[in-house]
Amino acid sequence: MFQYILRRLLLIIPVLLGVLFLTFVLMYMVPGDPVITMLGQHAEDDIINRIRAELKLDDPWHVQFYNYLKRTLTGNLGRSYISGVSVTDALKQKLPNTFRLAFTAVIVSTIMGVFIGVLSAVYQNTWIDHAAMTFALLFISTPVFWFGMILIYFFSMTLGWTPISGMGEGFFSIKHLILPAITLGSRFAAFLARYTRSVMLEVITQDYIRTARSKGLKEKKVILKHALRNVMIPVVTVVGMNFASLLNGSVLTETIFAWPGFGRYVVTAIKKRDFQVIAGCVLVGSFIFVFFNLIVDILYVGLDPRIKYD
Amino acid sequence: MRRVKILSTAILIALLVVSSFMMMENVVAEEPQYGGTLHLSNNTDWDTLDPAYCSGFDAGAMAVKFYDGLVRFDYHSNEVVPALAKSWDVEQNNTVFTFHLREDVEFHDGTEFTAHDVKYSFDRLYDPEVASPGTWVYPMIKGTDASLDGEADGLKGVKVIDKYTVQFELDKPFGLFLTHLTLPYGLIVNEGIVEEYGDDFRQHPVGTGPFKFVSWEHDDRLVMEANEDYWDGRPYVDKVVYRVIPQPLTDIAEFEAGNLDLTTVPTEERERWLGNEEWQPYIHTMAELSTYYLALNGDFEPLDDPKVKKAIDYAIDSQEITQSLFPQYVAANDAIPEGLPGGTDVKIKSDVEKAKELLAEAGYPDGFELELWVSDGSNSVRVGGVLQALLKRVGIEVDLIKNDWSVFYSAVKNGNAPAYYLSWWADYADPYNFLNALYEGDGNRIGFDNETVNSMLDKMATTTSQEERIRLSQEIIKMVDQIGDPYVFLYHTSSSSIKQPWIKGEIYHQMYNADKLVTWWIDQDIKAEETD
Repeated sequence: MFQYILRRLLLIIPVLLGVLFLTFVLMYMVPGDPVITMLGQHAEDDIINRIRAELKLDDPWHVQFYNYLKRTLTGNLGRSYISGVSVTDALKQKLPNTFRLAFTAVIVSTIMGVFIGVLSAVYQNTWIDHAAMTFALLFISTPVFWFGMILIYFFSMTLGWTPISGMGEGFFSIKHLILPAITLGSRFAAFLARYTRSVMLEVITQDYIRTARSKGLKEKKVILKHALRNVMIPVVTVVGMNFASLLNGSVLTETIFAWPGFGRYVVTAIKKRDFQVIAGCVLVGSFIFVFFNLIVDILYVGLDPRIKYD
Repeated sequence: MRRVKILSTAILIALLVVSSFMMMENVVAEEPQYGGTLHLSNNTDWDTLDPAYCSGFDAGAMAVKFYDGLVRFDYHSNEVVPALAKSWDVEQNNTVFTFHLREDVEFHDGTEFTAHDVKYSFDRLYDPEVASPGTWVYPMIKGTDASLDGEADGLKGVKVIDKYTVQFELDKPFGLFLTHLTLPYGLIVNEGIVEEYGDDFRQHPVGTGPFKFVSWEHDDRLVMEANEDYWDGRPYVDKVVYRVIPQPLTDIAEFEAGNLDLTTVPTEERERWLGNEEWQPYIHTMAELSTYYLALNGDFEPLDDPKVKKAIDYAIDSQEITQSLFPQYVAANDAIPEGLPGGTDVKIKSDVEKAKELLAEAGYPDGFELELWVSDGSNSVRVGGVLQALLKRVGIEVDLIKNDWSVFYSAVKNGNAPAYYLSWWADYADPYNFLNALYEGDGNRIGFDNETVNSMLDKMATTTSQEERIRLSQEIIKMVDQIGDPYVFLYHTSSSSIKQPWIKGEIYHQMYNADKLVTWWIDQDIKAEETD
């Protein structure tokens, strides 16, 4: 097991190198200039050239790539061209913000999604199933942006239960977290409900479930102990992969709720062609993705005794 | 009868006394109060607050809270008034400016402010290693080129005469030198502090301004506190918290909930708020110093033909565009926005038949194909669509090229866009700022280079007479209109601010960098009443 984890951890290195390489090639090919964006309409050609030289933007992409790699290996992700802030410092500030948002979103959406999915499968073709799947369809089709504004209108402005935006004091203010987490996780919850339902329907037709029932076990025990555990294997894979996606794709939610997170940081950098920030974010974002993949694989062992990593 | 007279006189006196007490009470109520925290917002982060890098309006507007310049804009007009310089002498036909500095000023860390700081700040701006984007502001100071080329250590044209006197020598007369000193690039920093903070100086402002820096969480909030020892008297509020709220609808919701003291009404919400009688006394609508236009690049055929440019001008009715897309804005007839002198009565052209005639005369009776570049902002795309429809009426087939800002602006800057939709916002309140940016031969991006216009712009830059500048501005606009304006001006924007009833002393200035928040105060009684 330990060897497997070590091997997987080592495999992260070529993956990250490949992603970085692609990022540099793409950034080099994409039109747009960070210096012109930074300087605005007054930019004079000689000052543009001077700053480009200062930032070494005129170097060929492979030289820039080499220099970036050399510096990154020492743990230095560089500084933003636009603000001069160290990318590492900015990520230290923004990643925990997005992490707590994505974490809460995953918890909320998994509980909701699995519960509705199981319920829907157990009561297949009843009004419960139809209602649950209609809601799931509704949430999958609802634009995040609109949904967030509607939540603010009802829960913050009309009922006054939650703050409108921001993160509040302390690391984990549930009052501030709940609406952004529901907004971020709503589509995933709906997807998970449908996914869980289909997996559950497959599982409950299996022989071992029939055996459990024929042994006279109560239906509740059959579902919760025998069926749900088998449902959880594919569900955990989806949840794990989506946690990484939520971490990397929370920009709309962060914008609506003025949440200073990773998503807004990277999108602003892309708009401004702030290459140092983009490269740093891609590197960290990819690491998160690969790392969560590994976590999911390790969790399989706990969930399915048949799986063993040697 | 006599009794009645005495009684009526007594009643009159009593009324006078009561009313004067009531008036006094009102006056007392309007006495500014100290204390409290001001809650404000901004839709974007400020990136950097180092004056040498403040290229954006947001950063510039924020930097003036922490720093002072030699001069500043008056809080209620566009007049330039003393700040760190208490007075100045202008000699040798506007080429030598000697500033006499205040002797009672300290930086936030207690360092004394002297003439050396002024020299250092301007030397730093032209230090090639600093690579400031603000070098376009003071090229008239002697020695800027030599300094930028690394041939000189510091600016020859900025001399420390004594501890509290500094002299600027210009290459040639420049009538707007004092106005240029109001720009954020002219804010004064201290060498020791800059060196102490190093790379972090961009994120940690320490100046002589009315507010001291407390904290800044990027994309979240920036907090400042009153500088108790501010040389111009401490601000009324103790603390200011700026939140970064990128989404305007969230921002106005925060205001509605009483969590923000003042904000801008989002354009799409303007009708609702302006129609609300309860809020009307607290809404202030102001013309902004902006001009939105369609630019026609003369380096591309057939836009090099003045008749074609005129035809396009006749084909586009800016009144129609403004009324249909932005009814709250003002249709533009020339480059100069409302609130600035120097504009003209040149008429908005709107005559499709005339446009067709001109196109036929130019040899394009069936029109032609035109690439129109716009950025991917929603307003740009909407305006682009309307322009496309309007030009189609005269046979011009517009190929609308939408790109994100960086790609769009790089194409414009490099002269690769035949036609584009863009705007100009004032760096300072003078028509020269608009006309120079749009028509000056070296500076524009549309192949427009007219000797007479260039020489008139030179005169505008040289003269210190406001009347003369206004006259020249009007002449330039009329002349360009005659010879074929490379721009079709579309509209000038305005914005509506809304404040809470307890906010007093707020400033609505057309210049982004005029307000230092020193006049604002919070009426605690009203706030307690309203928030109970």
